[in-house]
Amino acid sequence: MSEKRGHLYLFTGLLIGLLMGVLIAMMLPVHHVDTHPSLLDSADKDLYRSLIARAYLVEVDNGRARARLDLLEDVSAEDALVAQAQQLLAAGGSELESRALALLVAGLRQGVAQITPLPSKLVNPTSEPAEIKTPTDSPIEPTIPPTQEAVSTLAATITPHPTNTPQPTEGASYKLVDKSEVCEVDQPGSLIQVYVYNRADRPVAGVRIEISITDGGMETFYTGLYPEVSPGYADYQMTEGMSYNLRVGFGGQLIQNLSIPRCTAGDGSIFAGSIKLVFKKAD
Amino acid sequence: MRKSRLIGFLIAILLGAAGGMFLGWQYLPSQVSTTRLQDLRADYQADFVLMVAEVYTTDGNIDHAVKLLEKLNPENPLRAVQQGLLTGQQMGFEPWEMRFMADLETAIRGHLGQGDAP
Repeated sequence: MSEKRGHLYLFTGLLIGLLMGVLIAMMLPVHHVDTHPSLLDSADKDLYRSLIARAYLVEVDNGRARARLDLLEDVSAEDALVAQAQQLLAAGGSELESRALALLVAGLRQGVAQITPLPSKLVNPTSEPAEIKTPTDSPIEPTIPPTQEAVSTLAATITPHPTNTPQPTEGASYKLVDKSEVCEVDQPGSLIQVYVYNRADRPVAGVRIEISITDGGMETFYTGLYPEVSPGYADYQMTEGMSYNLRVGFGGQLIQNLSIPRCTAGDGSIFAGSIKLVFKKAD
Repeated sequence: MRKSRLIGFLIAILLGAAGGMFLGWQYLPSQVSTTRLQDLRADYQADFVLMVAEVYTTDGNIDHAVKLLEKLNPENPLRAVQQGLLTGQQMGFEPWEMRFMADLETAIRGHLGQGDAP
């Protein structure tokens, strides 16, 4: 009788162990080595993403930026970039970084690069790569041969496609061409909606917008973070009772005393509206 | 007899746990990752170095570049660039890419005061 029970206790032990093992595997953080960017922790993924955006401003190569972003295996690379840019702005992070993220989103959504590559600031750039010093005392070799995927990513050649328009260059000044009140009962909040266009009436992403409160305080944000509205669109949530001044681009026209407009509904009730501002690059 | 059953039971648990952990890591891995940039494969690290070098060419901020490279090699950021150069050579990086990284390596040498010796 006891011999017959023998197999059952072994099976029970195996089952208990199996459940324990699965639980441990699910709870223990994973640490990979010699691994792929998609397995990075979230902080390093953010850093990798922002570096891709900064490098994009140098190369202006949509294909290469896309290939690099694909390595992170985000559900939507554009959404991840937008979210990161917004978080960065909310946290008062680097303006240059958030601008780079916004420009990359715009570039990817529109399919063609629309910025001018940043110039090199190196004092003495070497003209010829004839002699590249590499350490020879203890050569380091990658432990795993690179995959075809990695090769295709790294071997991408630079193919900048700079165009003349639109160019969100530093110092571009924009002029207000239209200001109107937006009165929609079901609108999500009271916004300052900014649309920025170039001289050819094409929306421009990555344009710096500076907003200040009359009694102090200033915030900066960029167009291009809501490409589903327009690549040249940005908005700012106003607070009741506050008055704002706004400037688009560097040295652009200052628009003063912006505040929540009062709108009248069909039934005569009053509700808070939004402001729509349209800017165009000055001649 | 009871002792042998107990031992058998424990061995079964251990075997089950090993199998369970294998299955868990294969099919239900933890969503929490502690994988850092320094754990990236050499070719991805080389591409990271290249991006840092590209950014450095535009902003000339060597402190920022070193800070980023410390993510790959906290003790020796210069070593990270040198490894990037080696990997880049092996993988056939473009000459301009190698030049960017070589310029960064030279700048870091100067910044860290390491002269010509690696």
